[in-house]
Amino acid sequence: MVIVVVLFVAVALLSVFIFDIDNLLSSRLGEYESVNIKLQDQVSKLKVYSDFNASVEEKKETIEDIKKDEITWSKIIYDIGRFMPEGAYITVFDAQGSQLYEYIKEYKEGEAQEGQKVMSFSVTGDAAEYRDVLRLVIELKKIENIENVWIQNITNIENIDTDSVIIRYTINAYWNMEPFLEDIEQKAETQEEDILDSELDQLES
Amino acid sequence: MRNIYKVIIIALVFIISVFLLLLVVRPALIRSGSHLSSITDEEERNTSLNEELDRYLEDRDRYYLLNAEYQRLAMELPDNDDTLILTNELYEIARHTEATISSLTLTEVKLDEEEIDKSKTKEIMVDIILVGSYYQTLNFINTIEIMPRIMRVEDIIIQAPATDFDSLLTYISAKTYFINEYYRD
Repeated sequence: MVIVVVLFVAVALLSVFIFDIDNLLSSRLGEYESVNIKLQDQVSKLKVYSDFNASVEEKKETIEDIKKDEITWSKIIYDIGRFMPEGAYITVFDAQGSQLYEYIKEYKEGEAQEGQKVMSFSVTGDAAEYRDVLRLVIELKKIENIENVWIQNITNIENIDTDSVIIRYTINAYWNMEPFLEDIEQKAETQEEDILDSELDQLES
Repeated sequence: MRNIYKVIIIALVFIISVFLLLLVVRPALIRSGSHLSSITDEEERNTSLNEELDRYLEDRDRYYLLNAEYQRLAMELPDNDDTLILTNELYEIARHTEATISSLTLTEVKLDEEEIDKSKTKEIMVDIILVGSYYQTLNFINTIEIMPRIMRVEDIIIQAPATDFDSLLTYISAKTYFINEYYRD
């Protein structure tokens, strides 16, 4: 009889105890929920700053992307002017940056032809003698990112009035593509490594 | 007390205890378990919300700095074509460098339907015919290359007329950009 009464009291006490714990947990949960609702509200209000930050970052990236590989033609023209031998002058300077930009775009898309020569500029002009043309070729090779300078044509032009001969020349200069393609290749390699890593992770898991 | 009463009382106490266990203790235990798991979830949510909030507060504190940065970037890459400002800037540069713009053509490069929501930017082709001496031309090209708005000079043809070397004729083909409003991430 005593055991039964003790058992009953124990069950009753356990019920009260568990009921209390349940109430406590329930009120704690309510508090958390209410705090989280307020926090969520604050987060939603402040998200506009985060979105703004993201749009600034995106704009920065876009600008960097456009500005990458930009050719500074003014420097090249200045260098050509500086390097001109005394006996030679230029009548036509033809800079073809669009060819380079097009090639880089195709290379990124995997459509470019490997090892293709991309013209940077061509110069046409007159010189007193062929050595001036050769001097000019040597000097043009010193321009940054120019790999190959090619004499396309040299023609003797006779001036009957003055009874003299001048040399008319056309020189083509081609880009050294390595510095332009280096970054793209590195990026492609990193992407491949990332894919391999993620595949390995998948296999391991 | 007679034994029969004792048995009845014991049976009653036992039944009440079982009822208490089944109707109060068990549901309360189940509820407590579910509350505990909800509290754990809410705690995790609270931590992540607090972290998120800290990040956003940092962004809010940097707002003026970010806004200044945005204004600077918007000069380089405007949100719309801004061709009026662009034209004015080009003529101002020509005036400053003492070169003469004899022709200026602005053409928006149309994106095809596939590209319209994939390209972040739109392009404007800027074709300029310039007349000036070597230094005036060089100065003009250099200034447009470094002007606040992005101007990517692509092709240049400089021709020296046989009679007057101080008056070079230059064809400049450049590209400038603005944000494509239809771009979707």
